[in-house]
Amino acid sequence: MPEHMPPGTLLVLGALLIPVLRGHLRSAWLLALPLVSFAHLIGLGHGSYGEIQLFDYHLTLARIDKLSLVWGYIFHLAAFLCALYSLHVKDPIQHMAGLIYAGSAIAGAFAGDLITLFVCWELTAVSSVFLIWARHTDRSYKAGLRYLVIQVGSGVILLAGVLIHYGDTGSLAFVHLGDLSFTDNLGPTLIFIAFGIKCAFPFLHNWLQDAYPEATATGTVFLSAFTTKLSVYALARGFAGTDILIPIGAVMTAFPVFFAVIENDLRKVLAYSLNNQLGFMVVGVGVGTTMAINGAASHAFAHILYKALLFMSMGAILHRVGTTKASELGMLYRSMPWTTFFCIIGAMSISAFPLFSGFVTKSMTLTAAANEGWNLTWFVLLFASAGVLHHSGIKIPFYGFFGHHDSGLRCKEAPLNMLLAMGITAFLCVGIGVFPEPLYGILPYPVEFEPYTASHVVTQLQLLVFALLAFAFLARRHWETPELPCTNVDTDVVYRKLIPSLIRGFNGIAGPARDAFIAGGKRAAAQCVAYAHSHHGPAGVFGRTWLTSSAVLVIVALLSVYLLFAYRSGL
Amino acid sequence: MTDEQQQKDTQTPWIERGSSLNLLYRLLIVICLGLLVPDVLDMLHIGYHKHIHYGAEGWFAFYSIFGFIAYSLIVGAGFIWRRVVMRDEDYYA
Amino acid sequence: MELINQHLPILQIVVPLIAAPLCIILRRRQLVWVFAVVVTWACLAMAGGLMLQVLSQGPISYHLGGWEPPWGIEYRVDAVNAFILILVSLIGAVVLLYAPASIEAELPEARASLFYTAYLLCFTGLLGMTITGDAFNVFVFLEVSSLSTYALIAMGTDRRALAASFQYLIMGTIGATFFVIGIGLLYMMTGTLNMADMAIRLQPVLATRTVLAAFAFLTVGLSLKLALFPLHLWLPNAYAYAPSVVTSFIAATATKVSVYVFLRFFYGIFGREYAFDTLHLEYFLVPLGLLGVFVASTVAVFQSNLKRLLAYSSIAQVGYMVVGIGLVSVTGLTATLVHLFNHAVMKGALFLALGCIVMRLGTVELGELRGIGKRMPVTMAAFVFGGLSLIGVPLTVGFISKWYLVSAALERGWWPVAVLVLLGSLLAVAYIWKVVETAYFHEPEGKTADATEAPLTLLLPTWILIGATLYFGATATFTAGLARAGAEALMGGLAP
Repeated sequence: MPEHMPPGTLLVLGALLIPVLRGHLRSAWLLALPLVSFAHLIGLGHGSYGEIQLFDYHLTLARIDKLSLVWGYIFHLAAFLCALYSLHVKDPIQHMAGLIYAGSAIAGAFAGDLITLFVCWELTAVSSVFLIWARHTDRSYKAGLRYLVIQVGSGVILLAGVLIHYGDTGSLAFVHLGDLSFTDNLGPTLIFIAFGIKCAFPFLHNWLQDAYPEATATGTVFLSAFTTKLSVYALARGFAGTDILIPIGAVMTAFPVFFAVIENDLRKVLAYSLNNQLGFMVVGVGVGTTMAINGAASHAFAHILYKALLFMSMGAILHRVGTTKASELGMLYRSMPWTTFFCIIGAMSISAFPLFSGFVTKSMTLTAAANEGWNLTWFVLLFASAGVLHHSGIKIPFYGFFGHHDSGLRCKEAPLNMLLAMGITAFLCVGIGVFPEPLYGILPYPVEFEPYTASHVVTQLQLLVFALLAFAFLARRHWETPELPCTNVDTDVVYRKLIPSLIRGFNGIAGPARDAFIAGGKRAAAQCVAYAHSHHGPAGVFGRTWLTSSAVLVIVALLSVYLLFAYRSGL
Repeated sequence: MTDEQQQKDTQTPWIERGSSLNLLYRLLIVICLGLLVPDVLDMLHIGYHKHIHYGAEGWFAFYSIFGFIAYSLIVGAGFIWRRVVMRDEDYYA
Repeated sequence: MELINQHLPILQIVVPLIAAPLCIILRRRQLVWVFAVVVTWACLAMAGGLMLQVLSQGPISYHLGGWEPPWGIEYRVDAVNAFILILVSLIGAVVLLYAPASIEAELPEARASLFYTAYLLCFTGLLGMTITGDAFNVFVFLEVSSLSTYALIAMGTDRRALAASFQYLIMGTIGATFFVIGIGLLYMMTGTLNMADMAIRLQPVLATRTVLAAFAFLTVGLSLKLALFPLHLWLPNAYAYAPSVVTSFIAATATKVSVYVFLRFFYGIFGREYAFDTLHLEYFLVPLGLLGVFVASTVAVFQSNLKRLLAYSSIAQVGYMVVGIGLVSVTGLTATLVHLFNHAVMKGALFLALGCIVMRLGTVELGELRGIGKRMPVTMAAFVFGGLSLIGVPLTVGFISKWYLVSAALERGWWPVAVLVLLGSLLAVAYIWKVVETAYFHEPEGKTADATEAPLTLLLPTWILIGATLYFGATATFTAGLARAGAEALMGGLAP
């Protein structure tokens, strides 16, 4: 039986036991589950598992190959690190939600058919929303609702696309789904849109920045790792080489930069940064060559680690100080030196400094794009890399732990489990940067990329260090954008302001009309009931007891009618 | 420096002192200049050779200038973008 | 064993028939009850045995006294009436389990053994009507069951029970008389009383006035017995004022058996072509059935006496069955047959639940039952499930019947009928909601405040029937399969 369990189900099932475990037993269970699930995964070789027949549908519950294994490995690793990071949390719901979320993401990455993918897709949405709601504030409740609607909406569009695709082709296999066209190929087009929603495509992206900062300190770390990367995998599996992904991805790397610059909440800055990094991956998938896919996969791998590290450090601040608003923080490095250190490692990783994981992965995508002649895109990606340095490489550690003035906040260093998690992640970020071979070894295609060429190292350092110089230059002249408490409107203004006010306006006009209509309807209904009561009520002609003689009269009358009718018809 | 300032300087941690920040800045400039050396070498075609896809990459200090300008543009753009999208903190409340 | 198997059909009748007067001899009420229970459960076993025989060997033909039909009386058991036999004996058996505690509350001590006697006689009569293959024999058993029913109803504690019984007696006798007149006319034209034989011999003389008159008399007579609108006037009072056990038993069986006899005569003897293609009986059946549904359901909405409410609901349900007959298709007859079973189980259970309330509170007036759901949760839960079944909520038997009925209507292209059936369900929602609202959404007061849950002997049979409601609603293959087999047999042609 265990051989036939798709990877990830162990996590989901094991999570159900969490409420009955307490204390150290629960902590041990939380850490053991990802490890056991990982061992289970390793035990399964490449191939398709769990081929079952459900009604008329042929399902393949698990499909293990090089592409899905990359995601399988990193998701397990992330699940372990997130579990370690959140060991101190007492609320069992958060633990359950996190592990079910991780498990369903893993199962989704290994799904061999579209229906299984759909189920895992929805399960990730439904489980992860609890991580947002776990913050127990009014804001997080509403953000969670918006998140849930959008995520489940993505699932519904996915299902519609799957069913149309099944109707057209009779196949549910999760393979490359081909060209996009609303008229000819509606099924895969809808599936593409569904993937795009969870991947934070432009104009469909704002749920990411709306919901992720509202989750708990530990919840956001979970959230950052799974949904978006699962959708990158889905795009890589289903739409690799689809050209439209390239401009989409390029736009995705560019626009978050500007929002991140002016954003006050540092975790929201990271959410924009997440969007920006997804753009790189989407471009990689869009280019579609072996190097590009390798780039996207390895970037996803590395990105989960360093983004988690950044969110972990911000989460530590939130946990100790209660806020991650840049306007309210300052000089926390004094209280949290280790966290600061780890954060800087994460910042250097995401900026792609040599010797860090970003350097050996992101550049693969850029090189692949250049190789295929996507020139404008390449320049945009280069520009975005400078942007990344700004908001994630500099802004996050600087305003998180240093700042221009002392905020007066003092606190304890992050708890031991958080430090351990951050430390391991930081170690991996550096480790991958220095020894990329193991990562290259698990990539779907053979790697013909040499990260550490003199040219590459030098040009990257030139880019980054001169950008750093620009930062110092501007900072010394106080020409930076000040950190102010504010809300920056993004596309969510449409469904958070515009549509509600339209509805209010409509209600204002339609309201009185509707009330009058309802009142009139009620009056009419009351009259009908009164009329019915007069005839059918206990005193009415139908409801009361008849005299026997009257009843007999009816019988005789009916008999006469029947006789007449029978004679007329029968003769 | 006044007595007060000097006292402040010795009491504040090293990294926050004005003097150390100046030092770091100067160090940064030195590193930047050092990073320009490979480009010089490339221009003179000795030792280091830039591996380029596009013509522009071959320009002297392309990446350095690109990085510096891109960063500055982003900061500048931030001011403009802020004027467009910034609202009160409880805009959505 | 072989002997018993061979004579099962006659034993099915003889056993309860002999047992009935024996009840008078056995004075002690406990003993009588045990005896009656043994008899009814034995009948259930026999009915089951007959069904098994029919399923394996096909229709059984049993000749009474060894005399060959058509001169002798023949008992014919096929898929249709084996089904009804099981239904009647099941209800009879389960309701009897419930009886002692209930009649102890409602009947004087001295009447107890009389009650069981009448009960067993009614039981015999209903079984007889079902199993016999001889037309006059049907009349005999019809009278047996009717007369014992009149006696049973009159035993009710309410003073109006006697009047209700009397009214039923008058109307029921008229109905039975019309029935026997019809049979007499048919005998006159065919010279035989055996139903199968009559069917064959009737074919050449179908166009005569005598046969037409017989048709009309039989229609009216049977319509009265099954309480088709507007011949339903005896039913509300009869059900309302009889003792709870009696109501439960006859509500679940009497009208159903009459529907069966109707089917036998009109599909089996006159034949589908004559009854529907030539004489267009469906022009009466469908409109009157629908009228019954709507008028009766509307009256039920305004009723405050729960027993009368459910009585009018029964009239509506009979209306559905008649509509199914009028649709003249396999699906339509399946709907009717499956609803025979489903309604029997539903209504039986609902009246048993009401009996529990009567036992504890002595009343079924809605005004006095506020908050009863909180004091008697198990009983009211049974009522709610039964009510859901009346409405036709999926996973209850009511849904199965409605499903087949609507399918049959759509099959014939009669969209308005399908819509009206569904609207009838809405009315059911209204009157069930009235009860639920009173029972659960008020605080207990007055009599209700002191009530306690009914005793187990009453709850168990109630929940057996509710369990059947839910079980056969979830897995309807057995009942629907039997119903379909029966429907096909009836549509297939005259009784072979």
